[in-house]
Amino acid sequence: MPHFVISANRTADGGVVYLAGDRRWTPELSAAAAHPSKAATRDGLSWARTQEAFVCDPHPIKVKLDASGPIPVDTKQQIRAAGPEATLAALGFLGAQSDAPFIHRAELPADGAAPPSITAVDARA
Amino acid sequence: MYRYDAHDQRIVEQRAAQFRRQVQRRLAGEITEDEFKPLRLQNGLYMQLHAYMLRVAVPYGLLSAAQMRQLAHIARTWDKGYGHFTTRQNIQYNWPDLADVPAILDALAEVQMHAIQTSGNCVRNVTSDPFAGVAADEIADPRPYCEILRQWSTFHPEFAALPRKFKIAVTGAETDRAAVAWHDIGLRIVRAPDGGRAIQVLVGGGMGRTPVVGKVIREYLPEAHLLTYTEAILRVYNRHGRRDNMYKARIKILVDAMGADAFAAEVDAEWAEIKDSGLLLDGDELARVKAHFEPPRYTPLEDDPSALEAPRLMDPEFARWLDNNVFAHRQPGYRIVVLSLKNGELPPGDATHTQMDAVADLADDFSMGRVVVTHRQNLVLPDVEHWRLHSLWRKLRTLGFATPNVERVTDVICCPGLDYCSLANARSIPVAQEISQRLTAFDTEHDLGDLHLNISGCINACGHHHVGHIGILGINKSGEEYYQVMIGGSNADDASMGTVLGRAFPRDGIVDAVETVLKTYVDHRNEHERFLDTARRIGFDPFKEALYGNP
Amino acid sequence: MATHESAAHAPLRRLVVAPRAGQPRVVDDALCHIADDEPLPLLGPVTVSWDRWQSEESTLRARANVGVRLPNDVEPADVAARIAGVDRLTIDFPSFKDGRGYSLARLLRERHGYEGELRAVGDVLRDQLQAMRRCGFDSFELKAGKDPEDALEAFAEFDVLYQPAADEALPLWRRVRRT
Ligand code: SF4
Repeated sequence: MPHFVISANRTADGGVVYLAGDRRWTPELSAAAAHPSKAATRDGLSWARTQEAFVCDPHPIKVKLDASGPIPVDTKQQIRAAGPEATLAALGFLGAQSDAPFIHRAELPADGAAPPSITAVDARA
Repeated sequence: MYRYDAHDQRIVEQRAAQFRRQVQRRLAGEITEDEFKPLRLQNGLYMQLHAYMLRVAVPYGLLSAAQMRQLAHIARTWDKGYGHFTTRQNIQYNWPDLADVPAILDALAEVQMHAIQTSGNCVRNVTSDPFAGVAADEIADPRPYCEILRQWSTFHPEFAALPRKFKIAVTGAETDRAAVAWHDIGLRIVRAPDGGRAIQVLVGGGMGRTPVVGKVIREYLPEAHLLTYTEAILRVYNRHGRRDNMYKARIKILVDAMGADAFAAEVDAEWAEIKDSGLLLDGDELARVKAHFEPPRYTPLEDDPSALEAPRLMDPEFARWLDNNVFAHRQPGYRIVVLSLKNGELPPGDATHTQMDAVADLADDFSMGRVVVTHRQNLVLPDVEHWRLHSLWRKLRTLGFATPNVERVTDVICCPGLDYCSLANARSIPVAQEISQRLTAFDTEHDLGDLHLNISGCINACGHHHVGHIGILGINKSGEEYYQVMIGGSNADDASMGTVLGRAFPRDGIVDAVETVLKTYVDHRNEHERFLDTARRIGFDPFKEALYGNP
Repeated sequence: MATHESAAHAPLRRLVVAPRAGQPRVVDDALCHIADDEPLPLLGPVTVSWDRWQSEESTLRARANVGVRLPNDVEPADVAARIAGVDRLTIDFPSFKDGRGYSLARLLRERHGYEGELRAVGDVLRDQLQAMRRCGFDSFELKAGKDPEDALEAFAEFDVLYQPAADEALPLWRRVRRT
């Protein structure tokens, strides 16, 4: 049975986020709220579209549910969900690439805490 | 190379300041993403799968060592330590924070660079021959024309919202290395019948969904009319190009619908009105810009290829590199050296900040402080004294830039694909990497020669798959990655489009399919026959049969 | 597109104006865009559509203060042939992405010598104002909800003009000494 979760990209850095049940944005797909149909995402989506200062382009994605939580059906969404770490590792830009140090970047708390306030975004500039 | 005057400098600084205010408005919630999008796109800032991506213009591919160092600095400070050189001779950063982009633009402005018009429906960065200024077969250096076009198109008020993006390429050599027939406008500097110089004008070429070879609409345009004529073309396009369907909005569709002759007549009628306007290039302006591209002071050198014979004999790897990565220079005793960004480890076209710094040092040390980005996603040191090639090669080898594969099968052109790109259907980078791992030995064994293999992750064709001798196109079959194989394309003077051989292959079958195509070539080729020529001679059937069996 | 209020209860509009010489500013504006099926009010500045102008030109010419609203795909020569004496034209931007209005404006100004008011209407956003002004527009009805005072800043963002356009007959290299 396909389910749907709501996803978007953070305005601050473009990072992938999902909408959790308590209307918070989380980078963890496992914490996302799954809806039994596309129609059931409608309320969440219209709320999400009011969150423009924090996220861009909210949209529903199709997932399968298994023990670990939702798993995207499409390759594209799997790659988005696996996150930059997976991309970077696959491309040789993590670990072994010792000459490419990474700048520490603030991330949203993984536990689905409130999105950063505007001031928090500014403070990172 | 061109050095900004106070006016050029002020424009890029004001642009950075403007974007800083736009970003502030966005972060403060004063403008929506829908309103911000066209603004960020005019500055080359895209939203990709995992992050923003910033595309920085490298006008006609030319960089000074100082600029290359600044690109490294940006990668290190505001990105994850690397950048991607693109098929349009630009560089892309894959992980900038929105709030940092104004600082990046400031850093670019410090070294006379910018991200202006690197996306959006406007005149994009003008591209050119990566061997411009040093090619042995050059009629005229195309870069002054490119620079004049760059300035004319920068914030051109009339062409701020064209039907679609607009790409111009210029070459001044006998051999076309700028793929001018595949651009919205292609310009070739040619010898006019009166012995002077003129510009041959092609319009309506392009790849993407509807690949078309550009058509010549004027054989000998006097160079003083570079801008008047270009403005006439753009005006006709801006007024009459389709805007109802983004897939039919490029100028190629208009030229095709009107017919090249009727289109040329329309341009001529418009041109007649503005021919003698202020845009007519007077000799002074041409001379001013040309003076920036005067050849550097070369050391008078005896050209003595035998000087390289000893290291060549001692080191077959060096010999291979000489044969594949080093090209003739018009100045005796000098060579053009191509640094391969296709070593099979990093994605094609990617370079780390340490590598960029190292290239900048090599440019200073070996090539009069200049580097060029090629549309095959490699880098060029244009002015290397031939007796220093062996020492340069040793340095390149430790940096991973000496893979002796330029224009061979493992010198894959490859777009970012589904690892980054939000429009992609399939990944292209892992396919390129697997090709490189699996086919390097096959190439060495069978000496496959000149072979362009190009991969795009979707129909937008950023990886130029239509014009690869072998082209691979990622497609989406019910959410899964599949790949079409086409052969017979070329972006050189014998421009042609590849033909799809048959049904697409899944991810785990695509490299086998490429290998089968190559084996078929090896079985059928005549001595010294390029892949492309064999394919053209024997046709597609033997390849189809090898891939799909007898029908 | 044009609004459909009748002149009697039209509110004053805050209009951005940027005369060729002089500072851009915001003014109150009472211009009414009259729909094709509406009668013209007796007094006050109005505009009518290009279609209506063509079919009712002689009647409309009897009334003072009638401007013409142009779609962005008209032939400038056709317009020029019929607007002698008209001193207000608007050009519609159906979407900010549709840049035909820029070419039309330049052609009316530079080729056909139109010297009256040229107003941008429709999807007019602050970040296009400078390009519009350069193409010959001198007044701007911002998209609803956009603050005209804020938008004034946009005119000051760039002061180096590489190319000739309606505001400047010469390219930079003919105006200044470039070194
Ligand atoms: S070809 Fe497609 S997948 Fe590749 S970069 Fe272009 S848009 Fe993205």
